Amino acid sequence: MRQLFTESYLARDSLMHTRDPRIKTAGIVLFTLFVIITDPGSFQAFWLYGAILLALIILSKIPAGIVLARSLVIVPFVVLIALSIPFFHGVHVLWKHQTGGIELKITQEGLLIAWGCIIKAYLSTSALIILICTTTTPSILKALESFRIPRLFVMVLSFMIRYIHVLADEMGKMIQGKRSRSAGKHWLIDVKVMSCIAGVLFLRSFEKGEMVHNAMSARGYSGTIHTLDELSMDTGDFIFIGILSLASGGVYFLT
Amino acid sequence: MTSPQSTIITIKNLSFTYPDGTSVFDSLSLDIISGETLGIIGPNGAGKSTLLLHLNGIFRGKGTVKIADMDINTRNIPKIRNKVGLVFQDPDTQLFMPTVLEDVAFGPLNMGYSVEKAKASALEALDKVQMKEHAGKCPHHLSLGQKKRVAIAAVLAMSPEIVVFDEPSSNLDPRQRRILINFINHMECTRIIATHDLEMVLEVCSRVVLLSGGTIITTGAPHDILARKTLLEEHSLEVPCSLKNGDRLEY
Repeated sequence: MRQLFTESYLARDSLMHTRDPRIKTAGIVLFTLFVIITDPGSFQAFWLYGAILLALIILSKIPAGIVLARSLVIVPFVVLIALSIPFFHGVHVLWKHQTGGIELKITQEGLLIAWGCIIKAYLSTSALIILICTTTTPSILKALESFRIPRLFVMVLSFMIRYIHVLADEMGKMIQGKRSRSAGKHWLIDVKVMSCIAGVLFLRSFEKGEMVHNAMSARGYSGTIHTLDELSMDTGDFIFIGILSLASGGVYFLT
Repeated sequence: MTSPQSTIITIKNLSFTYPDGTSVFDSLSLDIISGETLGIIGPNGAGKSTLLLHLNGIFRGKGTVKIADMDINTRNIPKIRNKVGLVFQDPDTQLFMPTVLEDVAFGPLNMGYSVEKAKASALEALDKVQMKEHAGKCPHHLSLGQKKRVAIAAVLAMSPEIVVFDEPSSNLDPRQRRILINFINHMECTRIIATHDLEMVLEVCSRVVLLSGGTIITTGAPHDILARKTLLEEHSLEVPCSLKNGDRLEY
């Protein structure tokens, strides 16, 4: 049985954990929107967004190190952005190099765009991690449904989350099978075998999809998903979203 | 509810061929009596699972399949699916909702129950399989035995007249298998069980059907059929240990 890192924090009792999932999801989405539309040059604003996040971390009783470390998932994207910096155009050139008819240069504007992308991605990811560490997946899906996001889309998300573990287990078993029979082989053969495994995994997920549909039909599914609705909001939820929106909006408009 | 001893399922001249051309049945006929526990045994590829999928219209072959005097057709399918509950071999196939409770309530909600009634019905079914305390969990956090019990609850929540099990004891440890056998023995509806677990057939079934190559070879009381060594070996089965040794275990 595989567990996501978030699952060990979901059972905690904190102000964030007890908030209605719709309020939390809406609040985090709002915060992220303000972060995204903030001018990359407003350095002070990003510090203040960071302070809001820190407050959310304290309220949620999740170790700050976990949130900050898990947010490093964006590193590959940072590298990608860093590689594209020499191709940004700008007036204030800090460094340039001519090679084979292509001029590479690092400009102040390019660096600012890269900084903006990185800090916005980092803050948004951290906010998302706080959300998923304090809200169960079914609750987030219910929140999305209550926001009138098409039910089919929410179901696709739900199936993906439900079956990603099953498929990961399938993949793990196939990799074990490969390892047990491929001692000392060249890595190129491994690449070929891995592509076969990916193909088999695709076919198995396709078959699994058909079986799941059969199982759904067997229990009366006729194209519409009905779910139990158990969400309820209280005054604390409204105070929470009020403060979060005021703080994020305040940072955006006042800096 | 159909009266006891009446035929609840009638299958006449059923033929089915998969889209890839593999023919499974050719004129298969079988009557299933209300309230009986029917074991369907046979080698791999005999058509056991395919037959089960015909019982609530997932597959529709040529011939007649009647459930409680209703033909399987588009109009009757919703009623038939309320009457026939299918417990799949792999519970991961059956448990697709984010939580156990929502999964078990999926069928009742499809039947048109109100949210409160569906929830009550789901909790009652979970209680029957001793899984009520896991109602809020994600299905992937459960052990295989627990998943199988939830899959059974998902069917029971729809209060079916017929429960169809596909390999219910496969991959279960002895304790979970024992829980399952006891549970099946205490059910009051018609039960149809496709399995290779012949010891379980001896314990729970009132009648057994030997299916091989898409044809019904024979049908009769479990102790008669499962004691016929030559017949079983001809169809890749073997006499269960408890009958071989002549000292059937009592539980």
